[in-house]
Formats: sequence, C-alpha cells, structure tokens
Amino acid sequence: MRDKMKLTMNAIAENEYFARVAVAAFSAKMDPTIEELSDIKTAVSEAVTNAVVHGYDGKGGSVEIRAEIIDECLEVEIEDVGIGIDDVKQAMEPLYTSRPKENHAGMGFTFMEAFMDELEVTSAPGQGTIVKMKKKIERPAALRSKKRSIR
Amino acid sequence: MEYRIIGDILFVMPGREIDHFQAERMIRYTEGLLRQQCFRLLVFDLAETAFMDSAGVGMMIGLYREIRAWGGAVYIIRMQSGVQRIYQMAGLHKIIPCYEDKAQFLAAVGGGERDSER
Repeated sequence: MRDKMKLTMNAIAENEYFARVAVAAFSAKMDPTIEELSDIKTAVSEAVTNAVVHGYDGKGGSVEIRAEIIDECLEVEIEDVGIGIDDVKQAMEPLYTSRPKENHAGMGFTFMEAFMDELEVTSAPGQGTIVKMKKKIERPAALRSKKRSIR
Repeated sequence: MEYRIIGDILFVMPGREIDHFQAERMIRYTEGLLRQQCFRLLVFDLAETAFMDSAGVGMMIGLYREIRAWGGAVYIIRMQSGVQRIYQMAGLHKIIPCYEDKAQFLAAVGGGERDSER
C-alpha cells in the first residue's frame, strides 16, 4: 500500500488537535490498533507543539505536515521555518527544557522517540526544524479486514 | 473543562484531550482559583480524558509545585488507559498518587461529601 498527504497549517495552539487527528485519520487505512493510533497522535502532537511554542515562540508561522504510507511503514515529517535549535542533541535529552520557568515537562522528544520506531531531527539556528518519524504498523493478515474506530 | 469544589478540595475535570492548548487554559484558570483560596488538595478527575501529551505532564507538575508551596497535594482519580502509559513513563506516579474512584480517594484522604458542595 502506498499513499501520501501534505497539510500546511498556521502554527497556533488550536491546530495541535487538528494536526494529530489528521495524521491519525490518514494512518487509519493501515489498520492500526487503538494503542498505535494513540502513539501516532502523541508523537505528532509533541512535534507540532514544539513548532508552535519553540519554533515560532507562540508568534505564529506555518507548519507543514507530510505523511506517507509505504507498505507497513508510516512516515511523518513535521517542518517549521522558525528559529531552529542550537543544540539538537541537548534538546533531545529527557527532561531538558529551554524554558525551565514555564510549565514544560521537557519530555516532548522523549515521547516521540518512545512512541515511534525512528526519530530524526534536522535543525540549525535560523533554519527551522524538520522532525522525521517512522512507525511500522504490522497486522496479522487475519486481522486486516477488521474495522477499527479512529478515535 | 469543569471544576468542582468540595470543602477544601478542588476537583478539575479536564475534558477529552489534554494538549498544550488545553493545558495552558487549565493552568491559567486553576492558578487563579488556587490564588483565591488555599485548597488542601487538587484532584484531576480523568474519567473523560482519553489523550494527554507532555504538555499535560508539564501542567500537572507545575500545579503540583504551586500547591506544594503551602503544603497541599495533588491526586488523580479515574485514569483511563490512554493516559496511563504517559503517567508511568513521565514518572508522575512518584508525586501524584492515583485512585480508581472518588469514594476510594475521599476515604484515603479523609474528606467527604458531607462538606458543602459549591
């Protein structure tokens, strides 16, 4: 199975919901389990929130979401053209937050890493950020015809 | 998002999804209530909540810090499976205990429905 989609949306907090539900709905044809859908929603939500809060510092901009299904693999890319990340390695450390005074858990990248199979972050100061994630959705053939809800 | 006050316990019912957008709203509103009245306990009733990401974790830790400042505590009741993994992975269980239902929680913390509900 092959399919792809692309979405461009304003980098505003209200759209975090739309972004994760859109990618989850797109992936529904792969027949993921409820748990896999929840993994995808969480990972997308984290990446888009980073773009809104850090990439554009809450001032708005544009986020592009590209998703592709290649057989049993879902690939998702979330790109912003915001301020970028100085030190990607440090940003990805569990509990690291660039804004310790705000209510941030510093677990965004940790969740993306935990809930997806692969995570790659490309960024440079002033150059924006691209988060690439992959997840394998494998179903035993016998289960493939079963319909599942996309909640 | 709904709030209920029973005596000196503040119950927060966040709704279906706690993401950054919802968390920011909830922090603002809850902090406002905490500054008006010294609640002894803050309780997240997650019966309706199916989704929570790291912003929800940040919100809970932030409010935990706030209420701890005067010796209060934070609890979760009626957590659903969708939130369970995040709760464990984030280590929230170390600071925010979880009870299955309200009666069990009230019995454990020594509150009660006899207090006036507002």
